[in-house]
Amino acid sequence: MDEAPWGAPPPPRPRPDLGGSRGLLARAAANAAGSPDAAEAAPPPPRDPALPLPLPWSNYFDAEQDVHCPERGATFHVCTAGSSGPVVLCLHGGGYTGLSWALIARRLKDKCRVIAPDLRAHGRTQAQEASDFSAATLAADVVALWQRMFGSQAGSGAADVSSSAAQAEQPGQLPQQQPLQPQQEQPGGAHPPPTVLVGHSMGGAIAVHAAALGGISSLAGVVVIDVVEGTAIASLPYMNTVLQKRPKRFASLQDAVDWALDTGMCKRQEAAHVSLPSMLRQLGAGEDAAAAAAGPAQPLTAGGLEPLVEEEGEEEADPVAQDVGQPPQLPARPQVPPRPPQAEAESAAPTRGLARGDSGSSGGGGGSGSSPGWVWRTQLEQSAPFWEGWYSGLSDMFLSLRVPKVLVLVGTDRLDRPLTIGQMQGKFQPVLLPQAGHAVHEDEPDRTADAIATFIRRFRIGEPPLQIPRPAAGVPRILPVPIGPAFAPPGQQHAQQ
Amino acid sequence: MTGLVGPLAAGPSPVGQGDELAPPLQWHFSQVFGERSPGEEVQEADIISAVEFDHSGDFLATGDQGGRVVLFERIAASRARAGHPDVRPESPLHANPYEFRYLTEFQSHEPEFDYLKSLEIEEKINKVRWVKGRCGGRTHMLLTTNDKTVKLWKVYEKRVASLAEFNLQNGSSTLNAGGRPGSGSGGPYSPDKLRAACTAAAAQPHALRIPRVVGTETLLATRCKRSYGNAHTYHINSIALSSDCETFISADDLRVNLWHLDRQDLAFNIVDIKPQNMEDLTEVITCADYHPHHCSVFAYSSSKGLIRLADQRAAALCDQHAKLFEDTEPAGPRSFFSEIISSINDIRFSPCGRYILSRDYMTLKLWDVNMDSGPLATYPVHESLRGKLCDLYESDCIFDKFDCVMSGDGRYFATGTYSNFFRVVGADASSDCLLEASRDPTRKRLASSAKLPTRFGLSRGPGRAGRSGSFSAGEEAVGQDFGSKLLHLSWHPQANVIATAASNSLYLFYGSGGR
Repeated sequence: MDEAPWGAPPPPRPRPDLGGSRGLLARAAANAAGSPDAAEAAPPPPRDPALPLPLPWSNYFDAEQDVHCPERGATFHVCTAGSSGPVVLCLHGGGYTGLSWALIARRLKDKCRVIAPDLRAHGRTQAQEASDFSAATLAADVVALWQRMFGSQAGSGAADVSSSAAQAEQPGQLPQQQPLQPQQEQPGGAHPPPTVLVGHSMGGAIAVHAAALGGISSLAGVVVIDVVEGTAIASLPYMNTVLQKRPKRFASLQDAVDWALDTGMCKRQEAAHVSLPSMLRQLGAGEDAAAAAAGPAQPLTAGGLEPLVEEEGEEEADPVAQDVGQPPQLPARPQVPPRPPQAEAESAAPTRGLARGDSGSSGGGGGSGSSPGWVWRTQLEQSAPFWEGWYSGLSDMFLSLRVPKVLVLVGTDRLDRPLTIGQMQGKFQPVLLPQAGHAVHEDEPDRTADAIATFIRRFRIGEPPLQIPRPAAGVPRILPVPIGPAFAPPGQQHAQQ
Repeated sequence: MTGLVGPLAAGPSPVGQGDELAPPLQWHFSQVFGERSPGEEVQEADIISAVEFDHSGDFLATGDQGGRVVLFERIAASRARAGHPDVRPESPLHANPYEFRYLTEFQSHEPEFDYLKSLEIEEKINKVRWVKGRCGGRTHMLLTTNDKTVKLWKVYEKRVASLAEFNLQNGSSTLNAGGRPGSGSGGPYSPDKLRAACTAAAAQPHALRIPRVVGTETLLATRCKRSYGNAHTYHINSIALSSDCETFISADDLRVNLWHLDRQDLAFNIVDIKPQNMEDLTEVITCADYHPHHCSVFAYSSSKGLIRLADQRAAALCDQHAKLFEDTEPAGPRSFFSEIISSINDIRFSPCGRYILSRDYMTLKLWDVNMDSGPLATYPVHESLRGKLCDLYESDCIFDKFDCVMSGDGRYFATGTYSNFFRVVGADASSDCLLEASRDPTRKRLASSAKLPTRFGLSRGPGRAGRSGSFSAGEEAVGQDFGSKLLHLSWHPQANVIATAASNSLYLFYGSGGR
């Protein structure tokens, strides 16, 4: 193409939408041409330097409260939004906090109540056994929390608390320590509101476990975001390496946000500004970064870092960093200089300028004069023994839930065998959002929120069931009766001739 | 090149000999089938997607997007069944003997659904090829293919005799009366009636008659004799019959399979360019064609602008090419689109077998099979569109696959372009005309030449204008309507008759003036 006098034309956009032979030809041409322009997806939107950091939760949520569950030995920090409609209980992933649902909450709070708790040992939740990450414990936590907020306690008023500094829960709710029982009856006239469990990554696994426990009596749907048993279990051996590679300490929140956006852990600046600060805490005076990441040093797994799942359609320049339980992804374009395959969690390429915390080095403590720095709140390394328990049997458990289910994914190549069969059988609704990274609800909050809203509307969650007109009692039913010569008894045929 | 023995050419070569010029032809409109009245909506299913003359030139087959195949027959040929050969008339005022009429049609492919991949399989006919040498006379065999399945169809004449003067024609039961369904004891041929008729006949033996044939009529019947399916994962883009009239190849995006006409359940894969890792895919097969005389030589073209000649005698798997034809000096500066526009849309062997004609997006190229360093000649098709490649990419038009055809004597080439235009060039580039597929193919376009320089930014200096030249009015008209493209056309094997498909209309043109 000839040079136009006004300069080179902009590079043509890639064509992932072409199907069939043309799609194959376009891909082959793009590969053969070797131009990175053809291969990369649209460049990320420019970062707004004026966006305040950290963004306050009050922009998105209506209230935050601490729900004390003495039977679980924990006080859960819960952010809520919305005042009417079905309850959407959102469970974050490993290492995240409830604020990662901020953008979703803003979008959904008109139609339903969004409840985003911090799970045990995450965010601002205080729990006695902060190292018990087992699926059973976390699921029981969720059920107890729901019971406390909507179940056996008085009606649906839990979300109307406007005070943002509510310490203990309402005194009226204290004495009743209900043991967990399936299909629990609640006193009082108010039925518990229909609840949709939404979970991302580890939270998705916990949501499935919690739904299977049966403690949430008005469960009306389960939405799982980007977690698939087969791929999760297959990637567990690499998780330790990944966790070791992520920086243990950041000098400032801005550094942390930059690292997250650069490595692709989060693709949306606004979401990073809201959720990332809640995932970090400042080092106390004299604390060491390495010691802060307390946990037994996990040995590097042998076997190299080959990627497990090739991405066919995803075209990204940056490796996508994901939460615990997702397979490593290799950047799809061969022209991009080969990077070590990035598996999940908040990991960074070691060549990135911000990765200060090399594995095992204790450089974080030194030189920390005025600002000791920020470290991760949740020690994910400590949860290592429980990872397999989160995911094993997840697909079957998910498929056997008796409520409508949605699986939000980035691509169908992630589905393992039981889920592929389940999808073919129509046991759940898959929603594909190919542009997102692992934190789908942060990268594509609008589309995810729309998917959840559509799901709620489609299954009429929170609405009275459809009335099917039936005839009155005394009206005789008229059913069709076959007639015709073929049905006439044989004796009549002679008469007809 | 060790596999090929003997010269590949079996006839006079069209290019390079001084006295075999290709004089320009005068093209006249001959016929149109299915002409669209202006403003009429074109049904997608009626768009013609394949056009092919048979080897004798007496029949023409077209396939459309609805999976139907329509056959046309030459009228003069039917008149000539009485005996005398056709003679081309001296003056163009006489009706040309290459007039066609509708013969029959049949539904070749039905739309299907691939349940495993949740994809529809279109019934659009991608290619139609006539089979020669299999059957003579009034029976014809055709191979038709859609994206996944190749089918062998037999078109034959059936003589149906109508009979009269039956014996059981009496008042109560005639030949046409049928019994009521389900009543086994009624009807004209019930045992009671037959018994009654036999007793009556025995009483009057001279009243018995033997039914007579009162007339026969010849119907054309079509039958699918073979269905070659389940062998292609990707979309089939071409089929080609071998000169041994027994085998054929079918090529999809990444593989070429060899079939025998009699075996519909067995195919041999002879070319497989699928990479181990689909991420490394750089090349797809776009077209394949067999050599017209050597049953073991075939060529396949790829999206990288390469034509590979393969010899089946060398190995069972022809992944290693015997010859590679590559144009190492592409025209124009390299850009993002250079890769895409170098993808070859169609290749054809010349009837003599010495040359290969290839069509990539912007040009026609003529290759000598004996010379793989570069094409013999390059003929630009629609140079005026080179500045619009960005828009064509956005609208997907850059992926259109145009057919190219060679005349029966190998002296002319034709290919289609946009706005229902097609270009006919002589092999020695002496004649080059751009024609429109309409009732007046050489209609002069009204030009707005004043708009030219600003529209295409050509006014950048004398050097620029000199290089590309200002395009004539006709050339500019090519870029008017990218929605109507003349993708498919076919040249009659013995005469200068071209059949072109413009969406749902089939136009036939007759060229006079050639020797």
